[in-house]
Amino acid sequence: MDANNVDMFLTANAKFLEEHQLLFIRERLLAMDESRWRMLQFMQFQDPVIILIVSLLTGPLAIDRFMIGDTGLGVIKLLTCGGLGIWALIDWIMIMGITRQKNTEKLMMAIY
Amino acid sequence: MPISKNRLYLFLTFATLAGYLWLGFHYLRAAQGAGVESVCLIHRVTGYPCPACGTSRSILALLAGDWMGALLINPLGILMMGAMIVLPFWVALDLIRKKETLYRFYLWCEIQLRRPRCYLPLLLLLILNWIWNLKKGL
Repeated sequence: MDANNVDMFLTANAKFLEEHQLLFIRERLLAMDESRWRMLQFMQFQDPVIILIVSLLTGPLAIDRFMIGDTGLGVIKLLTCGGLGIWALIDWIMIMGITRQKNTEKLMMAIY
Repeated sequence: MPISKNRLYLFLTFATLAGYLWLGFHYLRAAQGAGVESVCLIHRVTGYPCPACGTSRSILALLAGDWMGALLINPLGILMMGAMIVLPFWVALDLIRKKETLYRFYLWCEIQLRRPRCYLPLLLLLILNWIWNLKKGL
């Protein structure tokens, strides 16, 4: 793929992805076929900041977990009042990283 | 990608253990006549109960043999008690038999729960339970 397009994609989406994977993703995108650029261009990622705000406001309701696609864990979190409150607190710290991890997994699935 | 099998089993074991410790702590406290401390963030901040508030009280009522009381405090308590009894055995059985029936069941549930005809009725029930919780003022 064209280096300009790849860099444009990464500039726009780097904040949604895991930092340590960015170089690897760049290499992979550069080696990819040009015809898949359109598909990549319209990919949507969850914004970690939005998820953090949702987590801060509605932690025990597990809406953050449902939004990033962790339905099973979301149900467990919801039915246990946010894991007795402790899980909800831990998620305030962890959820941004988990969101980036989910976004990276989504991108990896698309480019492989 | 969904959670890995080992992480799920570790998580469920840890969660069930924490649940039993929490229950044991309150069972002993209840013997001294003390009530249940709320650790729910929503309840602490707003003063209103969340959909799952009252689960501990419900299970404690169950342990005292008061089924009707448990149902009236929060029906989710009966569900949680069932899960807490079944899950450790299920995890242990899977580990002994080197199978992954619980993991497959979890993944199946995740797929089903993403379908509107599955999650909408459950969501409605949960909201009704929440309204009931608010009315009871748990």
